[in-house]
Amino acid sequence: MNSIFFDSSVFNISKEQIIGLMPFLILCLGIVFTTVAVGLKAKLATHRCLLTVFLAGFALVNAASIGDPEVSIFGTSLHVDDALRWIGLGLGVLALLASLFVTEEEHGEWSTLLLVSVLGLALLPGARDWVAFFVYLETLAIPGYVMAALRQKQDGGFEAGLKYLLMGAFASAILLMGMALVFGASGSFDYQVIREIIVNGLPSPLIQAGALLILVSTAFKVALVPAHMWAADIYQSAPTALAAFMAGAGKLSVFCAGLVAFSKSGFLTLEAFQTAVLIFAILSIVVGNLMALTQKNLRRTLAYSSVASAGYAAMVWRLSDASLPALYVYLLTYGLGFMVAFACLEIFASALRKPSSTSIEFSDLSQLGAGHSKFGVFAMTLALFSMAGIPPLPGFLGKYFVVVDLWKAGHQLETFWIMLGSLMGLAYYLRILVPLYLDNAQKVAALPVKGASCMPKVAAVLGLIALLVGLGVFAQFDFTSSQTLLGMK
Amino acid sequence: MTTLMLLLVPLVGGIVLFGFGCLPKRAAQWFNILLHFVWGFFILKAWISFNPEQVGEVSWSWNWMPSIGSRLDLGVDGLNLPLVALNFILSFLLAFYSLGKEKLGASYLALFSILNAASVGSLLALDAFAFYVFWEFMLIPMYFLIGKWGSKNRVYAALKFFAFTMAGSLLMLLAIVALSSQYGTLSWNALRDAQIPYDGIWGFQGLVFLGFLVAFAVKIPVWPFHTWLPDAHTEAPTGASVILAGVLLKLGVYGIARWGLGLFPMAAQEVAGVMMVLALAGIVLGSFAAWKQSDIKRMIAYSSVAHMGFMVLGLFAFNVEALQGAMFQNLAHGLSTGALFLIFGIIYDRTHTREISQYGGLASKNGLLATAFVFSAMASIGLPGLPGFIGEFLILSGTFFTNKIVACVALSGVLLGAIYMLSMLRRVVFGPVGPTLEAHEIKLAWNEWVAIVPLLVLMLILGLQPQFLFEKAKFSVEWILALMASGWGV
Repeated sequence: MNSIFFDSSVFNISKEQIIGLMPFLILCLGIVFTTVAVGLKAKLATHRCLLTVFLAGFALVNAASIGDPEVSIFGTSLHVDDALRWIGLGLGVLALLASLFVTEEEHGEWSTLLLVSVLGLALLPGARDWVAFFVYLETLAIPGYVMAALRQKQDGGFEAGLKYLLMGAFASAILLMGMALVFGASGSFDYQVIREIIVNGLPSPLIQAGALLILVSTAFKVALVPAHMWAADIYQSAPTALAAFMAGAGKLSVFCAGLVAFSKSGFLTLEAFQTAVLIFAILSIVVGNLMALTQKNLRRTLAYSSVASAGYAAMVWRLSDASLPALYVYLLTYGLGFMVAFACLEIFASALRKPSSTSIEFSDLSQLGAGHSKFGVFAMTLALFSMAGIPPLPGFLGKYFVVVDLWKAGHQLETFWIMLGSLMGLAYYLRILVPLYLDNAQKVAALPVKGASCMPKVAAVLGLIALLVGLGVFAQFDFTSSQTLLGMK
Repeated sequence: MTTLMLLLVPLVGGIVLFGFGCLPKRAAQWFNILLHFVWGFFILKAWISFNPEQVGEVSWSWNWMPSIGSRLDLGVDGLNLPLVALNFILSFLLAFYSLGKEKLGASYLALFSILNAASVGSLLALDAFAFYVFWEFMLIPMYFLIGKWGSKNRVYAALKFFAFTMAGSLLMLLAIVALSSQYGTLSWNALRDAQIPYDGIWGFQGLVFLGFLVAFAVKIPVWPFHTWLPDAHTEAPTGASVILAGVLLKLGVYGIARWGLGLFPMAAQEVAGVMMVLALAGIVLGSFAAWKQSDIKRMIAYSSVAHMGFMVLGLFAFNVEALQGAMFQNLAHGLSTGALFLIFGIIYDRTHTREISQYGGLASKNGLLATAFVFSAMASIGLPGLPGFIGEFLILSGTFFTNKIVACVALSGVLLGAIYMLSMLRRVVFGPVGPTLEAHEIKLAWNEWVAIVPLLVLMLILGLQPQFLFEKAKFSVEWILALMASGWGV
């Protein structure tokens, strides 16, 4: 205990450590600025500018500091390495795209909450002990509960928020319980110490139980079946900005942090843990894809598609943190595709004169005329094919990395589940395209929609650009050389 | 550079064609023809400068994905060049066919051009990953071509096409993943030189080969993976049917020859028996199914299943005659079936029915077109003097060396082919004028003749002077067989 809180050396901060903290300080500054803006009752445009400046600044500083030396800050609380910087870059881009969906209704406290949540997400994969992990997880989750339930006017919105809050609190309690058990058995929260105890001695049942409880609560955060119940409601009914943010940025960070934590604290060497991850992953792939096939609402379909994709990502949890690049590329390309798809749904909603995209059903899509939604239809196509993993779109690259890593680690049978899931996924991705292209139903006349925000369009364009850049960067990255992606060797 | 242009011209042209959406349809259609002239120039250049003494020579390489150890290696050899030329010829003639068609606007032509880029890309690719990328990418334009411009059941047919092919391809992807994790390279030459050791069909080489084989078997299609083909062919628009029959199915045969026999010779020998039985099933059952069809396009589709069975026989007989025959028949069948789909497509444009019973008396309505139709059907049956005969004869005589019973059973397919084709011709071309033809005038525009006639001339040339093609492919074919016979020099 005292090593974390009462060690005097942690207060001597060096120059490298301050540089390492820069991205997080930028976010903190952003939180201050947006809070002041709320107090001054600033307009939506001001909030947008602030969010853009600070999120872009966060992403750029992360990008600029890639290649700097690794630093540990405050003992085991934060370890800043290239992996964390890459994740920060991805988070910044995803959060920036999601922030474009913030509407008149939600601005204000919203931007502050979003930045706090990003801060939690950005810190989470840097944790090297379970206390820090818990603190960061709550930092990202609590603003999420507020954002989900705040100013809900749509049907089901409040229900979704409450469901999320209750289940989130439940998951947090489970995480604490798991941490307590692990601490009880090992006497430490430090990943490294726990790992040594697990690897060197016989892992006690206490540690095994603790690890499983921690897994369950993390599974809740990334919506793995059977802890996925909140996902469909939130993705459908929550404000678009929040849904896009949680599906993209939230998953990226929590999955990467989970892999680092499970690997570094030695949980992955436990057989029961491995089996549990496999069960979560297979259930998510099968149930997620099956449920997605049966939905009528588009956002619910995408929500279940995201559950299935969490299943593919969870397969990587069985490997080690050497597979972080594969996990990262997969989640980032999927998240960007998801973001573009959500942006297109917003474009469709305004073309169909619906107040928001929450109520778009498959049957509505066939009314979309050529005219003004042409770009939306095109972007949607690219996003869907990317998420489905059809080459040469970027989503394919991510899936390929995951499959290769699984294969190399000797998990050949698991790759068949991913292939099966991809095939099932194809059915509902193509189902979205059918009314968009292949139906010759009566189209809505292409009237200009007054007062429609151009932000979804901006988000879709930026998302596509980010996907393209990502494809270029990740394809050209030489994993075989010593300096591999994310600084992992 | 020429090799790259073979791929780049249709790709860039396709993207440019999307921009023609706001211009009149004619502009896009003429631009498409111009594009084919440019493409044709490079094809001609590749054909002339082609060195038949090379197999798998990489003439253009780009380190496009070092992160997965894949290079975009492109190369021309005796296995792929004839097919690239066939792809060009069919697409070029279709460019003329689409002139003046109100429905076939910029986006149709753009998708078509991108489909060409993908199919040429997978033909030229000498890297397994690059091959897979192009192979899968073909599905996207084809999905839209069938789904958007097809007839009544098009959505179902498009989905079935996509799902079947994708299911097969995913197993190939796993095989590629396995190769990449085992050998760290995906280049065809490097993998061949690595001489993947063989230890039974359930060993490494065997399983990887099976992964590839399933993908190709679905595409060819080998019985019992063929059920997507009749639907896709029937519902697809004319152009897509022609390219599907003329190029995409042929890619399966090509794929087995290069990626199957070339890399996994022992595994291929192991499954030869099973593949021969499946090929026979395809020939016999496909022929009977074709006989019973009342829909002309469906009938031609089932006849494709039967004819593709011959090519599978040729691939797995492992001698020069059969393999040369299979590669030759690939072209011959592409031309004859392409012509059948094209000619019937032109008739269908006017009558809008595919029921055989509605037709009759085409000969008395438009004698020239009827002649062309009969000519193509004869080429498909395998009448001496036309290319189908040469291909099937070589395959059958080659198979006869390997297995006499198989050759005899396969021979029945030739007979059945004559029966169903001739009975279709009798009901469509001859006899009294049927209700549909009574109601519709069958007059062809100049550009439709331009599309048909070269096909017929080419068939005649191939039927009478096949030698120049054999010479192109001779070295590659013998090289593969030498490889198979050597058994990695053990």
